[in-house]
Amino acid sequence: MSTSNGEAVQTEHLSKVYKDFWGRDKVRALDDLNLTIHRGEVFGLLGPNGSGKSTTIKLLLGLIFASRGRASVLGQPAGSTRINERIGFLPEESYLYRFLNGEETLRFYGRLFRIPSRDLKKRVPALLDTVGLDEKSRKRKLREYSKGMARRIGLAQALINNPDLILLDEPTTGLDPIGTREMKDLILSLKAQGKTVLLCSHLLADVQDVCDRITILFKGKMQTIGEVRDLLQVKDITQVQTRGLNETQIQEVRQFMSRLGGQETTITHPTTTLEDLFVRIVRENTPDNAATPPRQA
Amino acid sequence: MPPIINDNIGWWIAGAIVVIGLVGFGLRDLLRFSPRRIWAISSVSFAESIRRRVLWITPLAIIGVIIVSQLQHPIDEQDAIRQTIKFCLFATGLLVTIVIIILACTNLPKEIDTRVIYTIVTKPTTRLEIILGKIIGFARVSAAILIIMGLFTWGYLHLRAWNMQRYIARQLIDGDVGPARKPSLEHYQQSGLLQARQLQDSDSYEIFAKLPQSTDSVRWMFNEQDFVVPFRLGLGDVAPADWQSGQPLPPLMILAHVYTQEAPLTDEQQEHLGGDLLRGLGTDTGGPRLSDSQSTMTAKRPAPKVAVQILDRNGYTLLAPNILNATSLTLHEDQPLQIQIPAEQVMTLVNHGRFFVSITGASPGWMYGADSNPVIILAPTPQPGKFNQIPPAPDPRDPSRHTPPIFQGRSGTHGQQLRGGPAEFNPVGIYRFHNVPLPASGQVPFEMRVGIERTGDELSTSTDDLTHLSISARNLKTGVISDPITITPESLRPTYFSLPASALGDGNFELILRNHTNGHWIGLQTNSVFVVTSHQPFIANLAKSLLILWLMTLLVIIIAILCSTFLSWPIAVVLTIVLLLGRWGVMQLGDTLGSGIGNQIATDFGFSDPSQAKVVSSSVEALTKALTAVSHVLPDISKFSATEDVERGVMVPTARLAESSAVAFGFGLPMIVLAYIFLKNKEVAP
Ligand SMILES: Nc1ncnc2c1ncn2[C@@H]1O[C@H](COP(=O)(O)OP(=O)(O)O)[C@@H](O)[C@H]1O
Ligand SMILES: [Mg+2]
Repeated sequence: MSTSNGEAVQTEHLSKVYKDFWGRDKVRALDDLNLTIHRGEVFGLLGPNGSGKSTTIKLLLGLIFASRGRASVLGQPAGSTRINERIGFLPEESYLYRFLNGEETLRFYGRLFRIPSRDLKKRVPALLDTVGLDEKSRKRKLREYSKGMARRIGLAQALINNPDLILLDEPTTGLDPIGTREMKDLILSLKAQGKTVLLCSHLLADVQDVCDRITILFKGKMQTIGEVRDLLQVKDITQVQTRGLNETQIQEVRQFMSRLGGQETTITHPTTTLEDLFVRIVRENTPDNAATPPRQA
Repeated sequence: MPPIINDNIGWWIAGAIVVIGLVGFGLRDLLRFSPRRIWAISSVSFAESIRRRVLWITPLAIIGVIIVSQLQHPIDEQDAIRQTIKFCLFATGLLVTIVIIILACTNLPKEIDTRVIYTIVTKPTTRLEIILGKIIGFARVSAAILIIMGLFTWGYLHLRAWNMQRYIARQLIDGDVGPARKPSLEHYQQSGLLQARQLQDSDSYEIFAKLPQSTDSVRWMFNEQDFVVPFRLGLGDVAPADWQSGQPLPPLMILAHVYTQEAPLTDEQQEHLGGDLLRGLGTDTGGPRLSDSQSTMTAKRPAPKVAVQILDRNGYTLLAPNILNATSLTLHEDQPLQIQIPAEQVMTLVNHGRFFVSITGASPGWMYGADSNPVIILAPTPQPGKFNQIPPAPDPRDPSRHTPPIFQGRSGTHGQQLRGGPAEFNPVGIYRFHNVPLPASGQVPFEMRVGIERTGDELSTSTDDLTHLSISARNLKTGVISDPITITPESLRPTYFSLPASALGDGNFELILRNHTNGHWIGLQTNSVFVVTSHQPFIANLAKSLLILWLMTLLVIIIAILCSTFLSWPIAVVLTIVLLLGRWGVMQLGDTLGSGIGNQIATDFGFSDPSQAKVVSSSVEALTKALTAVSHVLPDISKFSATEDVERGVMVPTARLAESSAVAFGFGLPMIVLAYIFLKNKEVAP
């Protein structure tokens, strides 16, 4: 497979307006998105429900067509069938054939990649192990799967072709904390294998733990982009973390700080500051500070 | 448009769609084409149908067939089998079509709605492969249904046939069968009830007053019969050199030469004539009645008269005798009849192009004769007294000569009537067979099906009187006529007889039919008599008809999938049915949609204002024209009819298979390409 140069994903002025039956504009779901995702990074696409995350992914995959702008994936125009050989996609819910069982599902998707049956015999059980589906559930029809199991089989089908670029739309919804942990570990291991991951989520903790860079979408507009570290760093505040100090010792540190000239010294336990950032962005963009009711994505 | 395009407009559109669609839109997808992917997609559709227990519908259909065939009222054993075949194949066709329309129409909309399609189109599958995969998947479902129903049909028919055979054997042993029935039963006992024969029908048939010999220059008919002569007429034949459109055309003249010869009068005719004469004399009303014998004696042979009319190419009246002033023309020896075609009717003939001049014998007691060239038409030329001679159309079998007159019987309920009676009164029916493949020796089986009319049918108590029909064969090479055999056909039921192969020569022969039963009229039609030229196992015939049904379902699937690429499933179901039945429906409306409907509607709706009426009538005309044009590019599902042949025990011709494949693929391929283009340009998100 030729690894053409260029970025994993690149969009220019990408916009999507959903129209109604009569061709009138209904929803401006994505507005002028300029995004570059480098090869080998884990990129987080953040945003509240209805901010256009899934729309972006669908545009990148050619499931829907852009109203304006362009997108390229692995150096090819979005939606080109050839490039799908190297893409894995986990939709926001596992939309699979409910009358097939786990193994049949994977074999079916494997055939769509024209993976030889011999290879499939090995790869299917291995993948099912990777996503944590046990022997018994593999033989069960998907309609009997719990949400977490459906998520796992969905992930397995996204990885069947050993893709270079993996698009995960809210991968942790429906997973229990252990499952969430495993998902994060998996993403990190994919990154270690040199793969590019585009991760959509409104769960900040997920993103913070695994993403190299993030962007925050709100109402279809890109609000910010950058390295997670940079975005969260507040330049004029220094944070010191330590372990094993008692109250007296903490008082001593406080005194030491003020002697050095530090002001407003607070000593607390660290918070998820990404949450702060996220909330701030949503607040800033909401007119009259009236929070928009969360939309079901 | 040149005719080569106009005549095959459907094929040209189909070809253009396929080429432009695939090369223009889908060349890249075409190059990525992978049978393995298509098969994988088809397998999922197939598995879905099976796991949703679609096949469980077949036992229901089977139970339905069994119940219905228990309730049937067959007229005989063969009919029982026929009806059973009909139920089985009808149920099979209906079942498979309904199931397949529902499955194929709902599939794509459902996958888009449940978003399963997301995980398919984001794989390296092209949308062409998705369309083809779905089509093949459902074609597999339809094949499964057809195989199950086919096996059932085969088994059930054998069971029934076996039962019937036992019943026939018992009837024949007990001897409680009528003489008309017995030959048929014996035939069934010998040849079985499940048959697939190859039949060859005759090239032509005619009815004469007496059997024409090859040396005869004149051939004869009785009164009430007619002979017809085909003509072709173009504008060039009749229009003067300086003629301009809109100008009237000159009148034409028909010259006809009819021979006459006295014929014996039947009792009935004598009676009839006597009555007429008496009525003419006025004795009927007042004076003393003459006895029957006296009236017979007084009956005088009337002068020979004929009526002349013009028929269109289908044999329907175009210019009736009264328009030609030819309702009753007396024939004079050696003097040809002259009939003028009025100037205002000439354009009608030119517009039809082809027509027949028909001459009907009007008076009883005469035979009317015609030589090989009895009618010509004269068109005036600018020089007074000089005429253009327009001869009859060339003979299709021998274009170097003109078509000789064709002798017909009076048309009755079941065809051209072959009157029954003693030898000197009864006409002969002749069926001509050409190049029939025949065995070198032994008996050659024939099958005949005629309707029989009887005088005073409603009054007569002896309707079960037998009709005696004698049949002999004339070898056209040697002229030798075989000894006649006599059969007793039942009205509208098959009759079987056989003739020795030696009498039929090299396969070019005539069957000579005479009806010997007074008061019975046998209706002859083109397809009344067949030679059975070969047999095939019944199962092969059944398989062929199921294959044709399968080809039809293939087309149904393709249309259904096409509709479902851009419509919600309920509307797709409706549109699929409309597309399938559209052509057939327009054909059913047929003449109603002919020209003139616009005016009719305008008057029906009471538009008295002429300009309004004109608008209404012309828009209705335009609408019907558009409808007819559209119907011509719809598939002709009548090409998929094979059940009738299986039912009749006739071998389904291999050409029918080719025809139905042509329709299935000729319409199917462009539809596939359209479906592909629609799906490719569709956002597959709900
Ligand atoms: N098919 C559709 N038709 C109309 N509006 C849509 C459609 N799909 C999504 N939207 C709207 O577009 C916006 C973005 O949706 P989406 O991208 O799904 O958000 P999320 O970021 O939660 O994934 C939402 O307001 C949603 O209602
Ligand atoms: Mg979403």
